[in-house]
Amino acid sequence: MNWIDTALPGFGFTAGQLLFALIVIVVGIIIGRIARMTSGKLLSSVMSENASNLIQRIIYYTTIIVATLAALSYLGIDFTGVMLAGGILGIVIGFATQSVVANLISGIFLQIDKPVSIGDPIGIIDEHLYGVILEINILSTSIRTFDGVNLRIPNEKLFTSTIHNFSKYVARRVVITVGIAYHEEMKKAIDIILKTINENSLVLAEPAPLVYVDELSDSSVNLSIRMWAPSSVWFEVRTEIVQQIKKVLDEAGIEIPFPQRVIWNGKS
Amino acid sequence: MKKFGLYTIEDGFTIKFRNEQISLKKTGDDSYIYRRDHEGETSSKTVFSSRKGKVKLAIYPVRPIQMPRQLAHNIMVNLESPIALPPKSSVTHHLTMPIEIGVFTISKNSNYMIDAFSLSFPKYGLYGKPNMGYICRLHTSIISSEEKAVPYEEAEIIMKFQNKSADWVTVHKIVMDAYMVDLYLSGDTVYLEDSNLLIEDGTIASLFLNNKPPLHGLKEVPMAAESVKKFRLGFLERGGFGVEGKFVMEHGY
Repeated sequence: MNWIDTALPGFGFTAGQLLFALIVIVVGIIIGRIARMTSGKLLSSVMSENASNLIQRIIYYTTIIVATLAALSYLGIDFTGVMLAGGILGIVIGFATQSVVANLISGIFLQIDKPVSIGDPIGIIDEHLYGVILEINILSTSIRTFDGVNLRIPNEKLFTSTIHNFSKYVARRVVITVGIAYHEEMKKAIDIILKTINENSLVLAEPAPLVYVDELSDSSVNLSIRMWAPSSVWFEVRTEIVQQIKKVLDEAGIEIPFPQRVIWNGKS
Repeated sequence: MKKFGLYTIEDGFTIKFRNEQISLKKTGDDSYIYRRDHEGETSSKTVFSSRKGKVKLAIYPVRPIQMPRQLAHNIMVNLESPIALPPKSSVTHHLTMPIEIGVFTISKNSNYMIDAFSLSFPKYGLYGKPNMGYICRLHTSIISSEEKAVPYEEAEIIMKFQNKSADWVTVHKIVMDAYMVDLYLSGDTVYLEDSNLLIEDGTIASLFLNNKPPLHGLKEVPMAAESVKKFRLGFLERGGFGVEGKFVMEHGY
């Protein structure tokens, strides 16, 4: 009988079985490392470094745990009690870390789906939050709100919210409504407004701006002004144009009326 | 009098491009103020050192991507009247494209663009759809058989239109990526590099910029790379597009 078949005193397995179990664990570690490296290469192109590192770690340790359990099982170690305790513990941990796991999974999906990227100006409609994405981490996302406050929002909340991404497309439409008095000449007002818009370099000439009578409202004839601007200067164009329209209409003597109500006296 | 070229930095230097006046004024032992005035109002002002005469001032045409804002590096040339091309035919036309004027400080090892301005009123347009289009600097060009470019405002394009398809096609516009564009000079007349627009089927046109002058004896405009470097620093859009040496006009032509 050689040493391989010798039963280890106090244990229910031989030295050979122990050696084989150790080899299984070592092979598990090697496979884990290979899987971590391979997944790292594959994931680096589709998600951030943080998310990729986390997934790599999960793959690595899961492989080692599986190999270790297989090795211990081969040695005849009974896991029934451990499994039962582990199951109960798992349920407890599961309940306790429910939100953490939800944020983690949402973080991974945010990296894959990419509804937002770092630097994007966005609006989270459900939360009435507007700002610029600073950082997308695995559990939360940092946003600098437009009023200069740093905000950390859990990934689950971000992922399940309606998001307006203001920079996803190269151009955005600017819509302004201006009311002119009923006695004013509509064609003259439209021509003045169109000239003002066309004289602004940042308003796109194509698609062409459009000014039209949109509504005959209670106090004014409402003109709808629609123009396109590069997304990066959308707000600037809007603010400039509103101011310029007020100025040119004033200069042309075209009245922008206040809300008014005509009261008729019953006696003539 | 030729205006594009190299100048020695000296107190009282002035040069005028229509309503834009460039001037230099000495403010210290080795410091100068560069100033550009537009109809009496200062539009640009920079203080720099001449490094005891080692630095020179250069004024050259640049790609039209700096003014009024570094918003887009694409140029869309709308043809004043469309060009109809018979099947399997080719024709060469003179067109124009916008240019800007760049002012550089030049020293032995490094050049720097201190100013750029345009003599034309810049407008932008969207080529394609908002979700997948490009913001372009707009220009409307006449079509001619001879040189028609407005000095200091436009460059001459001598473009060969080739229709290799079996149908008539009509070309309304030409879109190019300014990063790829090289400019050439003959005196103060500016030319786009040799170019051809190839239509292989009825839906897509490809613009080829061939990295050579369109005529013999033209000199390439120096410092072209500086204007792109400056633009890239200030560029607000993300991403780029285009294939090196070729622009595919996927949104129509």
